[in-house]
Amino acid sequence: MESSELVFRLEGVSYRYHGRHLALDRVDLVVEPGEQLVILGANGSGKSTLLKILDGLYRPTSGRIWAFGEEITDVADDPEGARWLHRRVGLVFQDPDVQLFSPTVYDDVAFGPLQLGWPQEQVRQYVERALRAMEVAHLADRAPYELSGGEKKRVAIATVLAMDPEVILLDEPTANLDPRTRAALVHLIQGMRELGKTVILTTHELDIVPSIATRVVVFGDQERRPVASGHPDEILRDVELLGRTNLIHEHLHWHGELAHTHPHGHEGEHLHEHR
Amino acid sequence: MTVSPVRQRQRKRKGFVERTVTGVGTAVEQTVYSETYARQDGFLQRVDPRAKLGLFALALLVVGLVHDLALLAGLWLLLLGLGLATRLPFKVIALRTLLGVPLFAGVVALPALFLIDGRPLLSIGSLGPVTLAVSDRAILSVTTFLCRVSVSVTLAALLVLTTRWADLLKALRVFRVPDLFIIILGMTYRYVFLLLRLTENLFLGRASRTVGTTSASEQRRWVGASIGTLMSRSLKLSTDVYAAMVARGFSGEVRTLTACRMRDEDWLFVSLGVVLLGLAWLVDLSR
Repeated sequence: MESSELVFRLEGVSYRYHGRHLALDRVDLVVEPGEQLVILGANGSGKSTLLKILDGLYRPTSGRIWAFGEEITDVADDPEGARWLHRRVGLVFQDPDVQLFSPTVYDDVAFGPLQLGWPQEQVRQYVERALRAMEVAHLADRAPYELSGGEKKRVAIATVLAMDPEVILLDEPTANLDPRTRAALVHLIQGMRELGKTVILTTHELDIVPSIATRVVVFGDQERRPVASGHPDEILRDVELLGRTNLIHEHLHWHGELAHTHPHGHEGEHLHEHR
Repeated sequence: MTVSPVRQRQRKRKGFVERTVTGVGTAVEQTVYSETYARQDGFLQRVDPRAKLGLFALALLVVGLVHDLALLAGLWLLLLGLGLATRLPFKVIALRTLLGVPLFAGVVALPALFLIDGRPLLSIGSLGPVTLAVSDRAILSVTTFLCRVSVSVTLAALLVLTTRWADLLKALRVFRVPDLFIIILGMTYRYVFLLLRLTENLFLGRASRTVGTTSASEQRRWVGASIGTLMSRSLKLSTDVYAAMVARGFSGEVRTLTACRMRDEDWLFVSLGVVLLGLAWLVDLSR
């Protein structure tokens, strides 16, 4: 694929917080249009930092990055460039409380489209469409502090969908959700593929990966860069890789008198067979 | 009524800061619940918030100018009737006015009882060369002040109880309050809730790990550490919120949705209110 057709291209991107703490170390990554890319990694492997760099919020300490064929390495310091990027790329933060800062849900969802300078009628139309798509239209007049965790997540996604971006970045969207809300959210993320969106999602919950990923990139928690990339089935079968990157661990349990260990994921999934 | 030993120990264990935080948390919760009334289908709830806010400002001005006690009492009864007609419970309005007024305005007005000259009605004693006496003019001034405060507080209670906070913020645009200020006010209100919850959890986390009593110096150290934690969390929160705003296209210039048009009923409400307040002022002038 031609470089200009790629959604993102990263070459040797590193990032240090306050110039000291290394969060990303020489990351090379390519994202193609229409992909549903899941970035797997343990806590502290740099997943959230990567999403903020892709959204132009952080300037890489070193390395270069392109979006839609244009270099965006310095876009964090360039308001015009940032505006162009944010029109095309939306980020859903891990903590929805960060994203819901307006007095009502409607105002929050309208915030992004308004900042893009759209006409008022178009803003209202896109806001209502996003609220319906996330099944939160009935919450439009509510204040964010009145919402449950799952509702907040849905509204946070609606705030980004209302801007109709080509790429949606989701930072651990299913974290801290009850099983039913989690399943509903996975279903909504699957629906984004039908809308033709490119989705880049970070998580360490292995059980949702097969349902939403077309490709998986695994970040090493020591290396702080991708250590593997491939089809979801191929990655999830590689027990040695998942163990090495702290995504599963050895779990001891008993079958009657027989002690037995097997790899065990963080969210309760059991990746083993009894022979 | 006897208090159980467990409750007694709990009371002793709760420090000043903890009690304050719990109190503020409860107040915030009550504020949230008061929106329940604002969501009810009542006469005042249906009026456009801009109409209510504009009339509220005018009413405050007139109440501040009126001297006649009977007129002030009449206005208070009218407001009370309006509150009941708009489905607000009497207890809720009365609690906000009748309890708060003597507590706060009464304390403020108390010294004036002895400072305003006039025909002495009650002599309390002397303080050196100064004679402490309550005059007829002092009683009239303090009563007028308390009546004005009662009517003003009832007005504010009616406005706040029948208008949602978000609508009230938008209505501030009537007074040409800059959008940036309104957004900051809204965000402050939003995140005060979050930080209060965080503070409450810090105290609960500590209480769950505390066995027996802790010394005053330990408590001071802990409060200092909690303030530091809260400060660093709120700094991180503000950085993240700003990043979330930038990620949605914010570049320093605020753009907001234009408010809806006022309906005929809203204009009628404003007109009736202005006429009534004008009449009250004229009657007061004529006496």
